[in-house]
Amino acid sequence: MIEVKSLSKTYGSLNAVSDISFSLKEGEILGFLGPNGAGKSTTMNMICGLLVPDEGTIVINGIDLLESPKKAKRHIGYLPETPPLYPEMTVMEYLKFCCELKGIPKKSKEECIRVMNLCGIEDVQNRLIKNLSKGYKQRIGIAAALIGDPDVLILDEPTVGLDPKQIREIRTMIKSLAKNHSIILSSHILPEVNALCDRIIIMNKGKIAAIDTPENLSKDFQSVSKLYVEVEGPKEDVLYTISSLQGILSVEVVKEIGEIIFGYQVEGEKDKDLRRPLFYALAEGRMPILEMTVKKMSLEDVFLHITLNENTNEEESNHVDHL
Amino acid sequence: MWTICKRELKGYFYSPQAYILMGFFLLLTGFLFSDFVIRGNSPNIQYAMSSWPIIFLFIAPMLTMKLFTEEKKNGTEKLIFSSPISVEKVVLGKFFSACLVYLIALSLTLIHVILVVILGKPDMGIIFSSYLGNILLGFAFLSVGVFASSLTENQIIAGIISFGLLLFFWLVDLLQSMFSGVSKELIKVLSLFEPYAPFQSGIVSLSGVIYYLSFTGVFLFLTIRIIRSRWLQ
Repeated sequence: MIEVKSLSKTYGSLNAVSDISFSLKEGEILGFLGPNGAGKSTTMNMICGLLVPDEGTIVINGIDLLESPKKAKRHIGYLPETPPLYPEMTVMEYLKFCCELKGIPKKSKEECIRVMNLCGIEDVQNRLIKNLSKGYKQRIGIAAALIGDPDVLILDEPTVGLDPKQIREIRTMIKSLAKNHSIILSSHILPEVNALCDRIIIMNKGKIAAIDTPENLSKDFQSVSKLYVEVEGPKEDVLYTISSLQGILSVEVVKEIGEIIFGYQVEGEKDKDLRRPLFYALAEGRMPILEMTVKKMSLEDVFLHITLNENTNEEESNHVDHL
Repeated sequence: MWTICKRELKGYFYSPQAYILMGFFLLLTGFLFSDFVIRGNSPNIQYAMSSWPIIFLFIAPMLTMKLFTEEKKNGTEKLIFSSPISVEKVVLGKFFSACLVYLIALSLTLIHVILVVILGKPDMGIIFSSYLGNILLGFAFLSVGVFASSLTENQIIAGIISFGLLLFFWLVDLLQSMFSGVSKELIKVLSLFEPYAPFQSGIVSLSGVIYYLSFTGVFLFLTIRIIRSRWLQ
């Protein structure tokens, strides 16, 4: 659907986006994740033809955006961070205007009704936009992006500023839209990206730091396998039994629960399943396991790992420069 | 292009803006009419019309200052420029909407013409050329206003810039006497007032028509350039 190749954009001396490449497949939801100022919006603006990149190509549905912007833009529906609404218009008037802008003046009424039904805003069609709540405004923004049934939807932080109920509604809506559209969405809410996206691009300082499925991302960045176990038995015996097992890197007491019940954190070699050996060894020593949890690296950990690591690396190199 | 123009016209007429500005224009032209024509007891409406541009000098900035600043404020420029429509069409659409409001205001002044036709024997040729001069000059004013509104996100600043620019193009004429030779010619080119005089005396000068149209074209072109280089870069 979209092929982005070595895209770069500089503002003065600031590299907003430098040399990023990725693709969006049909029917896929691709999430852009990154701290503020990572270049998410800049990238999205370039894909929508709002910003001219300094370098690189953007091909939408086989059409080069920079060569034939008019044709390429027809395949894109865009919702910026703040929905681009005219407060003095009614919802219907606004959507009709969007139809005309996108070059479908005929049958505009049917099209407006179609997108209003999709977004659940038909009840407010004759109300002035300025009198509507933030949640409705966001939906109108999405409805406007859906006009003309574009193949690709680009949603810049679609749930920002909404209450939890509205967030859930918008997410359900995005999920259902993915059946017929390919979607790129940006967010800095990790659970949201995790729940919605098929693939994630983590951006940091204008570069792609990682690109993969949410599951693979948490797997890849896990350097050790971690377990948490609660065992009933004398502390020393438990520590000895666990640490004498093969493949164990470290074990420590992290929680005191009862007189002889403790919580332990066990770290083993990567990709090694420690659960079975642990169970048999402790059972043999008649030290019952009361709880055992595999600790996975959450997307949040991965995100912090990537963004913080890069920052510290850079600071270190800066420090060296100063010396 | 007409999509944009239509939306802007709705914006003008759904709010009190167009009515207030048009009312203001009609009121002041009405004053001039009663002073020159009724009190002066003369059907020569062109003397009253010669001062219309000064009124419009104040109105044009107010009519145009929101055209692009409002889009920036609402964030709707993202909607427009991510749609399959060219920057040229957007600029022209907005410019024409302001022109149409101006033409509507001018057409309402035709009541003055009707009155003098009923009451006396005016020179219709001079009236025609005066109207043509006012239309062309008005379009030039509006193009400056459109240009100013693309420069900033603040309506008031846009209004002040266009008013300042218009005042400059109007008053630069006064500097003519201080210069000679090439600089005098240059000032003549800059002066919006210079080519207006023939229209008042009933002459439709081709050079005047071309001057105003190119002046308008230059400012619309500059607007397109500003949007391309500052908004989309």
